[in-house]
Amino acid sequence: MTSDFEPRIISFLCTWCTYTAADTAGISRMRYPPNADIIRVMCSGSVDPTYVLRPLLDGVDGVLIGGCHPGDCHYQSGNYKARRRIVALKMILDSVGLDDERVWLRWISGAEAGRYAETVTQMTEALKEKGLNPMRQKWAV
Amino acid sequence: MRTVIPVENDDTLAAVRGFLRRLLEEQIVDALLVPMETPAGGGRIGVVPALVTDPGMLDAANPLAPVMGVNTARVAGQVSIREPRGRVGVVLRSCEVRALVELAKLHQAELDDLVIIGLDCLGTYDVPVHGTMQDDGALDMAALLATARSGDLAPREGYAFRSACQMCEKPHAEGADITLELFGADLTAGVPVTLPDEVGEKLGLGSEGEDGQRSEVVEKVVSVRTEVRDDRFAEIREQLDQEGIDVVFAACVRCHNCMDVCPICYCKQCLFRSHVFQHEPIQYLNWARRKGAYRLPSDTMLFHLTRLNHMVLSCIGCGMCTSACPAELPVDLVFRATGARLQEGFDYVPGRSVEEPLPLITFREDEWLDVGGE
Amino acid sequence: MMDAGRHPNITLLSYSEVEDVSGYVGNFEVKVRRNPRYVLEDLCTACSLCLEVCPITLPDEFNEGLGTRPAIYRSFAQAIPSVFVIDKKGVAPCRDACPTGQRAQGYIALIRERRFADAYRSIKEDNPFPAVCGRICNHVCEDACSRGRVDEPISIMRLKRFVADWAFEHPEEVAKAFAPKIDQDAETPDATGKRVAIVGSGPAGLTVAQDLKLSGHDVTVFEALPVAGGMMRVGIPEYRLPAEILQREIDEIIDLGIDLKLNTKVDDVVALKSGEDQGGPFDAVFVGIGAHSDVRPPVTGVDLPQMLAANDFLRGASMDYYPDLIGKKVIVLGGGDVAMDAACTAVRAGTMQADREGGEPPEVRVAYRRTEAEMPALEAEYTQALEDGVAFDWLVSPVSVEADDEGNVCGLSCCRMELGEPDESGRRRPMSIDGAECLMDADVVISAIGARPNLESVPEVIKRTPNGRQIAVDENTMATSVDGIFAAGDAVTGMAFVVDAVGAGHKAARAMHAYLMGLPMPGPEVKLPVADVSDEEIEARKASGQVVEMVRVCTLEEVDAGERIHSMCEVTGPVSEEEAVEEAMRCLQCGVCSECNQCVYVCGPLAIDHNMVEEHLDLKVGAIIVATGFQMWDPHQLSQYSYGKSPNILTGMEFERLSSSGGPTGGEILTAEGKKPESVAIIHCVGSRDHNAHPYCSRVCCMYSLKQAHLVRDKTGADVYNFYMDMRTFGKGYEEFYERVQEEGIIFIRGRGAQVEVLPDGKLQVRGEDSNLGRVVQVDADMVILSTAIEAPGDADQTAALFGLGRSEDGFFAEAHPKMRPVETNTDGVFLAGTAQGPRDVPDTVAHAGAAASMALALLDKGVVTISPQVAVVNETLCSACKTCISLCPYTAISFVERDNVARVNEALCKGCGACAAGCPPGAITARHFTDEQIMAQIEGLLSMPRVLVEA
Repeated sequence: MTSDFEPRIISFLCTWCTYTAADTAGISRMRYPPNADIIRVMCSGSVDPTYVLRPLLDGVDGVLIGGCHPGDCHYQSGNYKARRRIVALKMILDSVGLDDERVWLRWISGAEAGRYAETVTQMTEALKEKGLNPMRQKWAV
Repeated sequence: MRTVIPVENDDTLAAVRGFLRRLLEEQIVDALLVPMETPAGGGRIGVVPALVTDPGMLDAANPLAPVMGVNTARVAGQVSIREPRGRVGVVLRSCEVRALVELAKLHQAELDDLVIIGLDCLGTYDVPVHGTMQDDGALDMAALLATARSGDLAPREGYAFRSACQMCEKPHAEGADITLELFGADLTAGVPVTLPDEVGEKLGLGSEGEDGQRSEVVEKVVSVRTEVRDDRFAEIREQLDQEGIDVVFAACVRCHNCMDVCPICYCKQCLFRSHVFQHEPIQYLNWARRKGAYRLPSDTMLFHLTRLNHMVLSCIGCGMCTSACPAELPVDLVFRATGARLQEGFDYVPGRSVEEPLPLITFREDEWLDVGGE
Repeated sequence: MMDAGRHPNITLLSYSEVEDVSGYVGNFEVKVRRNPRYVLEDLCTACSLCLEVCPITLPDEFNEGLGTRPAIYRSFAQAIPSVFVIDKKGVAPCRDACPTGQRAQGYIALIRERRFADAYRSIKEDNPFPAVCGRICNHVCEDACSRGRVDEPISIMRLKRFVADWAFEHPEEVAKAFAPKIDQDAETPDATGKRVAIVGSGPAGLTVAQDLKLSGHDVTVFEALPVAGGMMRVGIPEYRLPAEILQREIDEIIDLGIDLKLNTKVDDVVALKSGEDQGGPFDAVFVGIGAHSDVRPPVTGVDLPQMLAANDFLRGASMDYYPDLIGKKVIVLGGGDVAMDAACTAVRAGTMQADREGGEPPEVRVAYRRTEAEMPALEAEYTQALEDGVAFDWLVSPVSVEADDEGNVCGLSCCRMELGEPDESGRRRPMSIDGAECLMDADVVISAIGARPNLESVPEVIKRTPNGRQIAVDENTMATSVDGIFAAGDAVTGMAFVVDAVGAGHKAARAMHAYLMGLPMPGPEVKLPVADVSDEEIEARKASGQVVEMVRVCTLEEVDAGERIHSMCEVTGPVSEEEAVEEAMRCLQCGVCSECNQCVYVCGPLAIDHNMVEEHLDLKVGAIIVATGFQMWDPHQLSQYSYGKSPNILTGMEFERLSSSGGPTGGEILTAEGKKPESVAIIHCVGSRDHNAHPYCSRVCCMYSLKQAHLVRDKTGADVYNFYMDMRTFGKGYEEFYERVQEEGIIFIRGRGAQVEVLPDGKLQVRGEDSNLGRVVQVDADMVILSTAIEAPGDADQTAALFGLGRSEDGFFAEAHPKMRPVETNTDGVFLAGTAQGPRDVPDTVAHAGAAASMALALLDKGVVTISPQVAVVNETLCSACKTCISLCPYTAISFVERDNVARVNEALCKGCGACAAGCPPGAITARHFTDEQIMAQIEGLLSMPRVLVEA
């Protein structure tokens, strides 16, 4: 893939942790790739796998789900539930011939602005390596 | 206790009917949910589940018929879920027992007043095949029942069992209250049955006979079937890896039949038939513009992937989806192969026990620690 | 602070901790534990008299450990509420173990301080017989002593003897110690006019007599014998407890104004109460008749003249009456302390007779039916008996006492025994071996196989224990079954120790006082928490050198056996003052506060309550403000500052105390050597702005360092060198102050990486880089002040978990938004104030706290709280009744409505996390404002947007 390929990422960020980290990264004027668009959710545990599947089938190159570290969920256990759901989803994707490595689940606390910026950077790089999501060109899905 | 229902004149079916009748007569159950024979036109006999309260009507019961039109667990839920209700005996094949256990966990069935009468399954035909075989005079119950003794299960030459049955590695009934243990038995002599002591006493049955050949025969059947299953899994996995689900399911007509017949898909109305997926006209246009063309009805792969996501951990492999698919897609294979992967991953065996919680409603703090980039 | 403390609408819960928080904004439920401060807040006037009498010395946290404080203290002079607190971990194990509740750690602490008269008063608080118990106690306190886990237990009994002996020799000082310290009225109550009869003058009876007399009752003690003291007097031989010493302690009690009637037998204790024969009627009677009846062995020949009961023998001996023992063969039956006492007394009596009249000393043997291992006598008594020449025969049981023709004892027939299975006492049961009989020569046989109460004077109307041998009492009040009659001591328990009788006597006296005054009878005693020194703590103290393994200082010195058997002189020798003080130093002070009670004696308002227990409060509050502050970063962590290697390297906080007029030097700036420093270096940013410690700026250090520089210059005229990175004088008037300090001749060296070296002569040398001049600077200093960072408290993680707070990268609690919501947290109704949120100086803290208060008030003033609209809602037509959502909800906010066969959300409980929505297959339950359509629309919106990537 040519180096000017810019992957698109949709991220679902928990409002208490990763969204705050993203906000802080902005306030702190951190530099990181602009490839990730953010959809704020109340908790990583509220991310319905369908929300992940929809953009992937539409051709988005990656989906990032960001939540609080295990044990730190603002809602006690939402991230543990999210972890099971996303693990199951990734198994399904891999099992039916879709690329589960386009889905990232990351624990990033509100304090970890740097980690957020780093995660987006890494994900962008990884997706650049992978190249375009083949679904982008498939109309019969 | 374990006992044997005596068979007279080699008529195994009559003996089974007689046993079921006694359950009603002795008021062990108020009603029986059991497959019943009914004229199906053109001289064919159809076999469909019915709720029977009159012992006299059981002359038409035929739980041994090698045909499966619906997964009876779905209707077992309907007769049990709320009070007032009767005490109902449900005659189920092994895969139906497993489906019922999953439905109980999903609060779509209530096991308290159900008496599960499980049946070792010798294999079933699709409804149209069952019809054709009758036309051809090829339906030979005695020959089929004879296979139970050795475990060399096979369809009548020239016909095929349903796809799911061909790779069914759990044909033996487990987890039932009363079990008709066909495997390993000479069914012309008697039908072995295990049942609670108090039921046996009420029926005036004495303890008789040991497990005999059953476990050996079951082991044999399971090993043969597992081999078939593994070959099929390997094939479909290879195909999915190469082509992707969008190609494998490309011919889907989105009729939702698979979902409608699935015993686990319990939703009153599927999400994909709800307002969430009734898009604005401009939306379709936008999609078409983005990719240059866009398949309609829309969201076909999303439907299958979401259905996988919603139910595949509970998939018990009855294969009704494939039986119902007008496009003859390998739905059961894709779901079973995916299900096997997830069930192993979450250490979950659907249909094993009502006590085992559904994986996605629970969690452990100390699992999947590598997930999340820690 | 004063204003806050005095404000009628502010309740200050000091010395308290929040244990649990539940509920939600406007409706929090907070569980608070109020630690016992052992001082009643509403009575203490902070007069400080208690400070002077407390024998405990601890490092003073407020003065950064530069000074010391007693166990009873107030953090600092301006503390609110202005009341004292006692630093007490709990009751020391020694006190807990003692039946009298003897505050051993208390008198040991006073011995350390050489306050022997005070120690004596402390002992007498619980035990009227220090000299007795200092000699013959079974000292269970020593078994419980934590020091035993280091080397050997403290010789608690011997220390008590020392104090008691000292007190006898220093009556004037003792009188002073006992003189009322507050006012006479508070210490001596009015006479009540109630009359109490005590039957028996043993330890139980005399304890009750003392306690009731001190409570103002009129007390008469009846004693059948010509001497008082009960078993202490007539049971314990002179050589163990000299009668003269016992008599001193009895006299002290009698001299309180008690009517002691010797040689006065009471025939019927019930009649005594109501009748007038013996000076009655009495309002209450105490029965303390002891256990003076011997248990006779079941053998033939017990009525022979030389067959004696140990009690009779010892009683006679105590009054100088002995049978003729010259050259006699004496056999003592039994294996307990009484048997040892009888044997050793027989040795002495016979030897003394022989010395006086000529002849051979007696030959004394002890015959016991078990073996040495099962013998119940105290080890020391057994050893003494061996030394005194007593012989022992094991595994023999008497069958009959043989008489000669004249009817005198001439031998003892015994049966040989063997040990069988253990019985209920855990000792192996002796069983006779058939046919294995033996005959032992004997002229005198003394039976010491037990004693029980003589209940002749106790009519049957008073219930007995189930075995019928003792008086049955209520275990909390020692009341018998007859109204107004109480009992304790051996009469209730059977033979036991003096401390058991004294402890039970105190208990009976409390109940009798309540009975006499018509007060509610005491219930079960509150079990106070026991302060245990953990093994880890012991190891830590050993490691730090605070505790060094050693042997006991007070060893048991005894008069030589060859000498002592010729008289009844006391066997154990005295304890010297030096030994006692040194031994007391070994005490680990388990309880911290020693409960010596000295503070109680001087507290005018009677504000001290050593029996306080922790309280639990359930509070309902609408808002919570977290103002838990900071802690100082520990400069040990960076070795280049050499902190801890010289007492003249101080943290800013330590210097703050040193320069304070309330501090350890009264405000004089002195080095550890007590001299004015001539050169002082101040190093800024120690632990702050340093990636090896905290990367953030602690904000307050520049300014306090400038102030300290000014103070040093002003008070000592020393040269002051400030090593700094940047000067941060951001506040109002700060820059002006900086300029003023510069004009005072203080030297500023800009640069990083200062380090401190302690030279061999103890001098300090500071090296740093002057980045302005680009060279290394080296300064000799007498004192170095490290401007250490401030950091989040060590327990911030627990606080965060308790209140549902997040934490920023710097460890301080996270505000809801760094710019827009600096006071709120992510938990509605919980606000932050001050350094809990981040480093800030006093004016900023006050402003922040004011903002937090305003936000809390604005919330409470409305009376209603608006909760987030982000709650889950069920579309009942889609709900398929699978109850998945109910399993997923962490707040039990979803319930199932059987009638309608649908799930329903309680919006007050729902917190809007959406875990249910993500798990609902038909999409029937959705989180408002985050519905499937809304999320899908956002996805669609993003995807349909033309993508212009601009590097941010």
